[in-house]
Amino acid sequence: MSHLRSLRLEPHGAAVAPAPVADVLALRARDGDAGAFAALVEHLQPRAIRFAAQMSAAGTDDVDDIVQDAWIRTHRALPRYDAERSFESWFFTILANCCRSLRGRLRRLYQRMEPLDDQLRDESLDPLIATGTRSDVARVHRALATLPAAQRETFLLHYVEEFSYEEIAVITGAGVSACKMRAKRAMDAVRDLLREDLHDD
Amino acid sequence: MIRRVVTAVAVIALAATSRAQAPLTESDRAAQQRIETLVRDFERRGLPADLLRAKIAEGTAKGASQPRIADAVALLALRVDSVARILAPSVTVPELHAGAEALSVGVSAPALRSLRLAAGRRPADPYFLFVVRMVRRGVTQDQALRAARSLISRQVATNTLLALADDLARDVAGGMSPDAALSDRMTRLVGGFVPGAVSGIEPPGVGGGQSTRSKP
Amino acid sequence: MTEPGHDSEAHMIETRLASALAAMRAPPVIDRGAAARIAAQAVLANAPSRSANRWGMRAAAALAVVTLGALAMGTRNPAGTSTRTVPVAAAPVMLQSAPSAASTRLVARSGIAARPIMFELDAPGARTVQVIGDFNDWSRNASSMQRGTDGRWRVTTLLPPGRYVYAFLIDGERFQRDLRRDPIEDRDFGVTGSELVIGEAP
Repeated sequence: MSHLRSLRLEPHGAAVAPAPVADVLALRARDGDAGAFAALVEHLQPRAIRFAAQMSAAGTDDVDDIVQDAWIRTHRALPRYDAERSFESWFFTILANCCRSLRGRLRRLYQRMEPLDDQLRDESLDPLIATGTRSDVARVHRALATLPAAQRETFLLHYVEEFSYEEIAVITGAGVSACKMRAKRAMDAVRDLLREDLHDD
Repeated sequence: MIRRVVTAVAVIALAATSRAQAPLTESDRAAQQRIETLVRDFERRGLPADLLRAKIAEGTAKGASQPRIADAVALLALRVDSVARILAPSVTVPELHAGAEALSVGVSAPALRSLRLAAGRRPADPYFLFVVRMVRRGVTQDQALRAARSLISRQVATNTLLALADDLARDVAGGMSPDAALSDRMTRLVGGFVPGAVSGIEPPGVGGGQSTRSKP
Repeated sequence: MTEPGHDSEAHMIETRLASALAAMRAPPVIDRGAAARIAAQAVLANAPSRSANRWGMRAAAALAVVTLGALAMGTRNPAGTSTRTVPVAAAPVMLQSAPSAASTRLVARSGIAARPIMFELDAPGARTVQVIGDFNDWSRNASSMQRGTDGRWRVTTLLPPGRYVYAFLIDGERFQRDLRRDPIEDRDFGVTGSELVIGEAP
């Protein structure tokens, strides 16, 4: 029977913590290995699409454009990557910025584009998910849409992408307490909307 | 150690060359170097390089090109590494293997950690594999994770886990939706699912289930 | 302190919230070729004719970089060494020690008796057939099958309980999955195989 041997790893951030494989591949990509870059894209793409779709509440084509743009920027910035921070968090920073800039453009162009939420509900969800849950997801997005981008972003990074607050702090550049506060405010707003809708039903 | 890796990779390269009847391209060389870098990295960190070597052997047997093999090895290394870091400090090779496969079908690393925490001292790889097989048969990820969580808390035997996936495949072939079939089987087996979703972060609000969050 | 109705309402909201978040976490499906396309587009987009750009114009020919294999690498140091050292662990994760072949086998526990498992394929026109899988380290020579008088190919192998992935190789060139067992998609190499699960003896 297998025996687990416990050995304490150094906490994250200490000088002896091992670099993630993604960082190793990112350095190879920086130095000219295109296959390493392609592997990073493949590894992160599902999460990138999921995050961008829900952050920008845009249609599928726009989401593909946002994520493609993020990869182009990431590739362009590779010469400056030095493994000081994890590649994954570095990429998500770039991606989050791309989501924000598109969202701003969309808002300016389509002031009253309510169907975006409907589009999101239909296009991004597994058809096997129950109808009631699909409505609740739409409610969550409706609540998030009323919030400042920073709160929406933090909510999605924590509750959907499952990053820790420490990781989100690195991604967004905000302090850990600020991240916790943003997540809590976003969650309160989401709960409030669900509660209101419950009374309306 | 490194010489063995280099030799193995060189043998693969030669085999590829003789099959393709063309000189090694720059792309093949970059692919070999990528593989060597990853295998070396694993060995240095005490991660199971044998998993990577098995993937190389698989790609070679299937007649894949060097770049394609290197691509597969890179993806596997990324996944094994993600699982190792989130299940640290102690994790078994079967957990890394099954965990990497779970990541490949879209399960998140934090979700794996929450299953592992629930399993306590028992190995978690049978449950990871269970989730993989459920998702492959069309069950939604959330349902598969919740079922695994329930089976962990009921301490169901490994044989039962394996049989459950086979039974589900038959149900689906008979026309049931995968989620409905799983729900049905779980009800008969253990009385249903434990409440709450499975997530790598604490569930929202109070009473949502046990906290699965641990310090990074 | 709280009204009964309030408690159950709060509970219902949390349950619905948990389900909604779980649904939002469902991963999107990405095409197999999408990553290579996206990576190639990123390379193309960043390949202007600036002399400082290390990719140079040859990168423009490097589409579908992973599978086509015709990538131009430029004149960078092929060893791929970086100027910055990546920190390395002083204390690696400690794992159970296990023999190498068994360590890659899912679910199997050492010390449990292996059972004879028969593989069978109906392929009367074949000249050679092998079973290739993770239990024989994907070796093309390990498990050669024999053709019976009925035109079916068979081999029996001893395998401990566990979960295995394999395929048949016909005439050394064509892969065929075992139709009697559940398929396993192969996103790495495109060779669909089959899954064999052996439970522990009751």
